[in-house]
Amino acid sequence: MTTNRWERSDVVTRFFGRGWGLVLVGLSIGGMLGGADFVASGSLGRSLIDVAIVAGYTVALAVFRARSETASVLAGSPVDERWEAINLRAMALAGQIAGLAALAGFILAEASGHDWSGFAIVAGAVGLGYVGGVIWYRSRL
Amino acid sequence: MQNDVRKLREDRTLSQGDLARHLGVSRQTINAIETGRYLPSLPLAMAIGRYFGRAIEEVFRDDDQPVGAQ
Repeated sequence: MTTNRWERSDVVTRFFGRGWGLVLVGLSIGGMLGGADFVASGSLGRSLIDVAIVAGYTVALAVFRARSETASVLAGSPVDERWEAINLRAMALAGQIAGLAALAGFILAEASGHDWSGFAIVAGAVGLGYVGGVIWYRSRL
Repeated sequence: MQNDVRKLREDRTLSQGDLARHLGVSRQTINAIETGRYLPSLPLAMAIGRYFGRAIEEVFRDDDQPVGAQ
């Protein structure tokens, strides 16, 4: 038995525990954002700024995560079980806020006659993700 | 839940950082445990007890249980 079982139990934590994993994800997200911006606007400069912002953020997290427990959580690699608990609660809070925001957006868009499909997709993903999580974890915890 | 982690640590003239290094957690986590803000997992509680040579129930107590009662 070890005191840091949490380190081995979470695939996401293990992946982000490696610095290259975090930077890889940052560059991928930045690349997709930049690509989408380039397709929409045709501006290479704007696209590069998109990539630079996201990549810079993840590189900064990768550098500072060894010096700051808070940065380690933001980088996806909490330093111990308490920070892992903080990470889980923060993610749960963020998920609730995302769900409520999508629901509110859906209702406002519907009431004002605007396109609500984007909000419906996000709200549906949050709801299905939660139900899927309950089903997945009920037999594993 | 109350605990004697601070007393046990100070009896051994250890800093929070020293204990944190021994247990493989952050200093802030030791502080949170000592002040009762964070309840450690069973493996960590056992590691703390083992480190001080005490059983878990000698280090951590229910709030309903009188202090010092074993």
